[in-house]
Amino acid sequence: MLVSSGLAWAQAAPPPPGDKAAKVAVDADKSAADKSAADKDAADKDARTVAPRATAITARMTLKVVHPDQVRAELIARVKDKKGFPILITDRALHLKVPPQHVPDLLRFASKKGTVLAKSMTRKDRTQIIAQLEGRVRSKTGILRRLRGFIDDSNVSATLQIERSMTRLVNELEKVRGQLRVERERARFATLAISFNYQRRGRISYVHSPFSWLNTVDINRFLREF
Amino acid sequence: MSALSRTLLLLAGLGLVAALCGCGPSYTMTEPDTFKRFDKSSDFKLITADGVRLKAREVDNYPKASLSFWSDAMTRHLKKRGYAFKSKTCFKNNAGVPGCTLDFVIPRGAEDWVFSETIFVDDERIVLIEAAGPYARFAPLEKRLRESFKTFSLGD
Repeated sequence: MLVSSGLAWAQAAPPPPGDKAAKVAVDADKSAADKSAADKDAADKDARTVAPRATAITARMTLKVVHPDQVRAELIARVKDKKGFPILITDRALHLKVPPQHVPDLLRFASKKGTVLAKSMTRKDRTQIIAQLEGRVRSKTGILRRLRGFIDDSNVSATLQIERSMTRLVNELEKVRGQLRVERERARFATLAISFNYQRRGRISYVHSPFSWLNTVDINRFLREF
Repeated sequence: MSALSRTLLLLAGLGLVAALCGCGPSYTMTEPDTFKRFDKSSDFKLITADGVRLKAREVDNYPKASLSFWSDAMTRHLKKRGYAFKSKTCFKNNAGVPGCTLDFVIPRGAEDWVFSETIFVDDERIVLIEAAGPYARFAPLEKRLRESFKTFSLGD
């Protein structure tokens, strides 16, 4: 009670000169204030510093080349140089995983190999989902740790109950860790999907031009009348 | 029979002969070696051993418009019909007539085909050189075809 009121006094007004105990209290208060200011500065600095975002990049390209086999081999070799790897190799398509910083370079490299008919790039911010999953892992790990602590002081029935809960929790934890690993990998490697075939929707034959002769410009008519 | 009647009869006869022989516009072009011309056909048409085809025809320039107008209209129209625009190359033939080659890609069966349209606008008519072939067979010929288009003569 005395200490408490003494502290209250120390905070309320400066101590009389020569009072050693009061001086110590003031020093402690000053030190705490300094620490608080330092913490505030650090927090401000953190707020100003933009944390790197976890972004999943998917680039798609329709590339027409005369020799797809040759171009496919060149692209795979290039991707391996850039610490990437193929995830799908077919006659018509090639899907690659590459570190995001190498995507523009690989797109340029691919586009020089033939005619680019279509190109697109999507970026999805995974930062929030990763943060949520990390939070869930932390929380579930904490619960698991606490449950372990209860086992020592429990009877058989309670121990069995705790073990059941722990088993369920471990399963959930593994699932969340798996999701987290997948999300981190998505951000770590961009996907580059290259198609060697033009697979757009079928021709829309009902499109009618107001210029009548343009309606006769068609590959089927050309081949039929050749 | 008067001289006028004889002249009219002669002109009619010539017209009939022209109609019977099916003589169209006299297009000429120095074609790449790989193309062979159907000499006996009234149409100007060429083909390669592996089936890349080329044919010239003409339509009325109606409503009367410029080369850039028709190039733009054709590109927009074919894109709407599902063709993928590949490239546009404009040039002048040896006679100084400007032309533009528009290349498109379109799926046909299991293959992608190139459909190429070269447009020349000559006053009241538009001369079209149409060519098509599977991409893998057409692409190696493109450069030589473009050189040949410069030698294309629109005829009368």
